[in-house]
Amino acid sequence: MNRLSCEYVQSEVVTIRVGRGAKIGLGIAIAIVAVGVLFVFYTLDPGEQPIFPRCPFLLLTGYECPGCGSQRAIHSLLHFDFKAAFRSNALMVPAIPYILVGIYLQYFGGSRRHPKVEKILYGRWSALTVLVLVFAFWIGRNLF
Amino acid sequence: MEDNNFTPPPVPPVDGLGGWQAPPVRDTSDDIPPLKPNNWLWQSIVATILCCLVFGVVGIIYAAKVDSLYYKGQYEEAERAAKRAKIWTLIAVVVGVVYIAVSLSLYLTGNLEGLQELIEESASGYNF
Repeated sequence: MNRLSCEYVQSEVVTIRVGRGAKIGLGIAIAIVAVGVLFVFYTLDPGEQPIFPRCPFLLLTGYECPGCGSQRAIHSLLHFDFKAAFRSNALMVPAIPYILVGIYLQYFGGSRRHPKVEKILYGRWSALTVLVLVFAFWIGRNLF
Repeated sequence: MEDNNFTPPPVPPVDGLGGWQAPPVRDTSDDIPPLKPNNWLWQSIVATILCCLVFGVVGIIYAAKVDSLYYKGQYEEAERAAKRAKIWTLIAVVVGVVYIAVSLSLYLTGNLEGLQELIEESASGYNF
C-alpha cells in the first residue's frame, strides 16, 4: 500500500471514531422505530384500516405511482404472503433485499469488504437499470 | 490482505511529499482521480417506493448521472450530480414524512374524512 492511500485510510478512521457514540445511539433509535412501525404493519391491514396514509399522487391524478401498494405489500410480506405482496407492488419485493444490501455496504463496512459487489450492484449500469425498471413499472401498472 | 481490501480510486504514484488534497481536483489536469462520490442510489429507491412521489425518481436519475459522469472522468460534474441526488432524495423523504405526519394527525383528530373528500372531489374516485 503506498503512502497516499495510507493517509486516506487514516483520515477515514478518525472521522468514524469521532461520531461513533452518536452513530450507535442513532442506529438504536432507528431500530426501535422500525420495529414499532413493522409491528403496526403486521397487526393492521393497510387495505382496510383508514389510519394508513393514502398516496397523494394517486389521490390527485388517479394514476398509481411506483410506490403505490407498498404498505399493503409490507403487510403481506410480514405474513409471508408473497403472492399478495407481488400483486400489491411487484417492485417492492425485490427492492427490499437490494436496499438491505445497500445499507450493509454503506454502514456496516460492506463496501470495503466487497468492493466488487458494490461496483456491480450500485454502479453505473445498475443505476440506469433501476431507472428503466421504475419507469417501466410506473407506466405498465397504469396500462394493464 | 490490507491491499486487497483497499479499493479504488487508482492512485498514481506521486513523487516527494505530495500532500493529497481532497476532491475535487481543479486546475492541474486530472492527475489524481478523486473518490467516486456516493450516488445515493438505494436511498432514492427507498424514497420512491416507500413514500414520496416523483422526487425519489429525480434522485434515481441523478444517481445514474453520478456514475456515468465519474467514469467519463468528469469529476466535478459527478460531484454536482451527487449533491443533486442527495438533495432530491432528502426532499422526497421530508415531504413524505410531513405528509404522513399530517394525515396521521388529521386522522387522529377526526378530520381526515374532510380532507380526503376534498382531494377526491378534485380528482378521480379511484380507491387504493
